[in-house]
Amino acid sequence: MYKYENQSNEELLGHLRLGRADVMEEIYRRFYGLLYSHVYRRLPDREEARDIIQEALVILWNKRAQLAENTNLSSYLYTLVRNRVLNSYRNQKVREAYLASLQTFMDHGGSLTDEKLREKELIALVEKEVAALPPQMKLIFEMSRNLEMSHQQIADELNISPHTVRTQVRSALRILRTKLGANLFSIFF
Amino acid sequence: MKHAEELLEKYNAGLATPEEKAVVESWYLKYKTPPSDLTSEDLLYEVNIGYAQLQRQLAGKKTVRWWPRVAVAASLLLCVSIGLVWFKKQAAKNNTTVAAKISHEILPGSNKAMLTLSDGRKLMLDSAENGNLAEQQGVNIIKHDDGQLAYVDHGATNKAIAMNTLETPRGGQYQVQLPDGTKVWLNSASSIKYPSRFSGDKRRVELTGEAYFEVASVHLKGRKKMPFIVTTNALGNGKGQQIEVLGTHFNIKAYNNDSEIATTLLEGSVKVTPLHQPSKAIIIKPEQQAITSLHNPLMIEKVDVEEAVAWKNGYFVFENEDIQSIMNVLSRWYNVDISYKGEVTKQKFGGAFPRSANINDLLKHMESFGNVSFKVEGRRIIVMR
Repeated sequence: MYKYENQSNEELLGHLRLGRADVMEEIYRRFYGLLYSHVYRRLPDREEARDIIQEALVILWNKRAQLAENTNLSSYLYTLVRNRVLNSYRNQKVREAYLASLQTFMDHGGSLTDEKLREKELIALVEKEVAALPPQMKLIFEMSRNLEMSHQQIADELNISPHTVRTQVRSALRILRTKLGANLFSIFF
Repeated sequence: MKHAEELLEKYNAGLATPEEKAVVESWYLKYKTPPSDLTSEDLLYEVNIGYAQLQRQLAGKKTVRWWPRVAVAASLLLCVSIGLVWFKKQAAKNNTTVAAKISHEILPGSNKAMLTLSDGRKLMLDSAENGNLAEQQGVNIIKHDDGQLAYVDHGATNKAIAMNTLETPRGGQYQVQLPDGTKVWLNSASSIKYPSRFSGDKRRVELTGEAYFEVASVHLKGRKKMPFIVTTNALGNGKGQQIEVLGTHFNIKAYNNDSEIATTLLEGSVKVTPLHQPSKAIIIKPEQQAITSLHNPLMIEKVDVEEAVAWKNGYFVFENEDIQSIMNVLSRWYNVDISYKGEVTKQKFGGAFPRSANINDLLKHMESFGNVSFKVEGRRIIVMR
């Protein structure tokens, strides 16, 4: 239904490197929700969190030609985002807490792992966080997959009468009903 | 404190040694975050709003900040949007859209209606007290705690039939249970006329606007089912639809300022007769929609029934609609007037929003998705390119 829905991250990377713009849609759908949740915990500022992740996605697109074939897409994105979070430490919401915590870490000589392992641990961390979220939140990551029809489908649709059924378009409402069922009203009202 | 800050500064500047990087990055992995106050609604809002913003950035436009750090209300926006252009190189819009004024006075609709009895008495239902509202010819009109109106027949044999009209204003909606047990959800700017008691061999009501019906199955003597007939005249000049059902769930959309009447069947079976060409009557099946327009007495389409009744479940669902039809819907629910300035986009929009959404959020969303901009002046929305 969505062009790249069933493709692996590796395949998405492939499309990205080839400059296929429509893959950004899938990347957005797959990652935005969980990245937002991850960033917001560390930087509870809605606008900043938005900016950070969007910057990261824009950079990902702009640097697509320079991505190595064996780049791990998750890792690349999480790293971009992490670096932006670190760069925002001066935000008064977190500055004190970060500096105090980092200082303690430095003073007590916390265990350090090598770069490769840190990369793996970052992925594991993000995924663990997602797993620990309440079910409704997790569903939202899936719901974010209902954002868009592909460019081509849109162009086709514009010529069809407004009342013709577009069976390809799943209304968000339908998804909500099947996914959330009885919880629907608790989210929206 | 100084050490930690220095280290972070070095790291951010890209000047940290591998060991220093290891410290910062390992700390990041270990850092225990305080509990997040991000709700599911907030997250969903972000996922949806982020999409529009990202598109603009990728298309080379500057991010337009609509509201200077206004706290995002819990009103949730869920948007599935079609009619967008992803990554297309567009001619740069030559000016940023006019940010809509934050209008605190435009609120979404609510349960509001007026009931006119046969003797001319008018009852404002939202302000009426619950319980027994009135009695007509042996029928009690009761307002339930949830606001729903119900007719209870005491069975008094009385030939006189009292006609009632239930009318919703713009910004209103109401639910009523007719004397036969049929449930009707009335949308904004709509009215339904019905008797306080159904008699004879047919049940008849008249509708303008939009309503969703769950028609109770009623039997006459001899096991024959009593038909339920809805007449709409919305197209004027005697053009409209007559819908005849036996026991079923369907939605009729027949507004005077729309160019067509659409009857959507969910369950059961319905006979739709275009008033000006009765020979073209058809019986439709579930998931079918019968459309009568000025040029076409009857057209049948297969549709997504969820979309047709979404309003009754508290949502707007637009699928590939032009701006005018969307604005008509918003006008009725938010009780606002619409003006168009200049040539307006022919782009189609789609989305699903709760009916409780703040209108400014909706407009802002549409602006970010398409070649349209809005200006809100009091209770008027001006639609521009």
